This record gives sequence, structure tokens and C-alpha cells, in this order.
Amino acid sequence: MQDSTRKSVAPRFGVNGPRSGSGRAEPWKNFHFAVSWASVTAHLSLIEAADLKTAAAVAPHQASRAAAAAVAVVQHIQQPQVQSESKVRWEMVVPKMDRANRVPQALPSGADYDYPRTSIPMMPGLLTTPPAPLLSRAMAALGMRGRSNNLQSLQLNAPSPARAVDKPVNEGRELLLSKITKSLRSRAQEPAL
Amino acid sequence: MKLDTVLELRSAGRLEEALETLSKSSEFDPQLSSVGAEIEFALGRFEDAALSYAAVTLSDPGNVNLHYDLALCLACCERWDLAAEAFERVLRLDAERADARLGLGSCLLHLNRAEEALVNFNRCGTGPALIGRAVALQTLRRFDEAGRVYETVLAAQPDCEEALSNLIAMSIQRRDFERTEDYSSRLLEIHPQSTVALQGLATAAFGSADHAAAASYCDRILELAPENLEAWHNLRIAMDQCSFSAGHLGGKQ
Repeated sequence: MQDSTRKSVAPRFGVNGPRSGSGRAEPWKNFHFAVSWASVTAHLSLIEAADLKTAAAVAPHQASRAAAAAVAVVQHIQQPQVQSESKVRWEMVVPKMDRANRVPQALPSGADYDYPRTSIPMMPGLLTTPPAPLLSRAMAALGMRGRSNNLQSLQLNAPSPARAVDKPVNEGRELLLSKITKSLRSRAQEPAL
Repeated sequence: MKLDTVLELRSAGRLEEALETLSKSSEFDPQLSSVGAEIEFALGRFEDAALSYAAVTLSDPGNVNLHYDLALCLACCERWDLAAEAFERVLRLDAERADARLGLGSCLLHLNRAEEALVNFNRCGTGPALIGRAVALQTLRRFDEAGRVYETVLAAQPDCEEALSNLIAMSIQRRDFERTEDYSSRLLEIHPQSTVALQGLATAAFGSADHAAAASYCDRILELAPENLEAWHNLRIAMDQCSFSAGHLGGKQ
């Protein structure tokens, strides 16, 4: 027979905790033991550009090459791409209005969007927006190398009222980081590890 | 001129001002961006630093150090997949980079790709790679091999807390409470405030039905970590068992 008074006053962490009718104890819980390997990378640190001035003096050619590439990146964003000597042939297609058969057309998917990179038309909104900060513009260049949805990340990254909302910005960063990887991956050399 | 200003500000520890100066730049300069990335990293803004490094890396894709720095930033953001890819790019450019291989191995462990991590750690020789190797083996449940690697670590560094903690975890995985007690005692000797050691001792005490000892260890855990719910639960169970045993013995007498 159970002791009802004892049962009712059983303290939360006391010695008189509930016990099953058979007298068998409640099982103890496993503690959480984490396996860690922080010491593997604890000593890793950034490799800082040592003495930049010296480095620039020693390797002016390399520095100027990098700067030229960077300028090209920025110009790529600042100026609409006009290729007078392009071998790509364009055809102007005038859409014909057909009200009776107005079926919304799907946008081309990323895989289908295989125009030459330099011929991708700029979005009007991108050109009319005020100049974005340096980093945004550099990042925009990354987006240009991506697929058709790259303009979405550009807009998220650019200073706009949408930046006030944290979530879209984070999503934009996620997109951006993915794009960085894709872009760098495509540029990486391929000798064996 | 701007570079000088930024470097001076950075040297003076005025990192925010240095970044502000950089943000006013109207042209993309890889050197300035590199410095900016370093400052962002120092401020713990790892995502910003990763983005900055990515931009610089694009302008100088053959610079292995930039790829490495980018990888490190991504790892600090806990973007293990991206970081692993970035470390792989470093290794494509320079297969001898042990630091990149360590970073890659660590990311692969986070991604639960222990086999690949082990391959990388095996190519790193000794040093910090040993712990990585042992963890990879432990994850693959190759406990005997893992134990030997941990012992090698401990032979070189007898007070290696991480090795002892992982050995405690491994002995509990194997239900080897004798070893749990041994490793936990060693860890407690080195770090008297180690809750991992106390948890190990409490587990070993429960394993050998020494409820008085288990209660004592749980009590000590709660002194150090009052939020430890398992310790609260186990203290109650241990004390309950103690009182039950005492009552049982009293009844017999």
C-alpha cells in the first residue's frame, strides 16, 4: 500500500522522489559529453598582408595587375556593356499583342540563360541607383558572373530600404556566399590535391 | 595616402575609424580591401571579412594566402561547406599547406565526413593533426585506434584537456566505466573545476552503483553549473537510491 501523504509532499529534488510501485528506481540520465577538436585549428590565424608598402615596392607589377583587375571589376558594374565588336548576333523581336491568348511566359531558367557574360543586359534599376559602396560593387561583380537570379542578391546587398530588414539581408548574404563559392570554384585551377 | 591613414588607425587600435575611412573609398583597391578584411576579422565581423576577401581573391585568384584567409573567415562563420571548398582551393594551389589541410580536416569533421577528414589529418604528420585524427577515428567508431592516438597526444602533453575529455566521452560510448573513472580523475587533477571530469566520475559511479559517490559528484557539478538539468535529475535519483538503500538496510537490521 502506498503512503499517500509522502507521495503528495514529494519535493522536487529531495530524497523522497516518486518511486514506481515495484520499488524500481527511476533511471539516471546520461550526461552530455561533447567530442571536440578545437585545438586542431586553434593556432590558425590570418596571413596578413605583411608590409604593404614594401610589398608594393617589391612587386609593382603584381600589384598593378591586381589593381587593374579590380578596376575592371568595378568598371564592369559602372558601365553598361556595349560590345561594338561582338561576334554575337542579336535579333530584335517585336512582341505581337494577342489578348485572347495571353499566357504568361516562364522566365528562362539559370541553365538556359547561357548568353555570353559580357552581353547580359543591365537592369535599369541597377544603373539608376546611386553608386553603391565599394564592397557592394565588388560583390555585384560576383553576382554578374552568376546565373539569372544574381540581380536579386545585388539588390539585397546594395544600400536600400530593404536593408532595414535583417532577414532578407541575411538571406542575401547566404546567396552571396554561395555565389562566391561558385564563382571561385569555376575559376580555380584543377591540379590534383 | 589612404592606406597610410588606415594603417595608422589600425596600429592605434582605432579599428572602427579605420573601417570608416575605408568605406569612403570610391575605387576598388585590393590592398585597401585586404586591410579592410583584416580589420573586419579583428572586429569579429567574419561574414564581412569573408565578403571582402572574396572580392580581393577575384582580383588576384592565384594568391594562395588570400584563398586561405577567405577559408578561415568562412570557417569562423561556421560555414563549413564553403570553408571546406575554400581550403580545397588553397590545397590545389599549394598541396603542401599543412595549415589549410588542418582547416579542411576540421571542416570535414563538422560536416560528418570523418573518412575524408582522416585522410587529410593523416597527411599532416603529427602535432595538432593528432587530435583531429583521433576524433575522426572515434567518429568512425575505430575506438582502439583512436585510443592509441589519444595516448600519443597525452604522452607528449599529459595535461591535454581536450584529449582527456574526448577519452572520457569515448570510454562512456564503450561503457568502459573503469577507464571513464581513470580519465576523469586525471582530468580533475589537472582541472579541479572541470564539469566534464565530474560528469565522468558521476557516470562511472552510477555505472558501479555507487550512489553516494554519484550524489556527491552531481552536487559538485551543480555548484559549478547550476543550469545542468541532468545533474539535477541524477542528484535526485542518486539521493533517492541512497535513502532507499539506507531504509532497506535499516529494515533488515
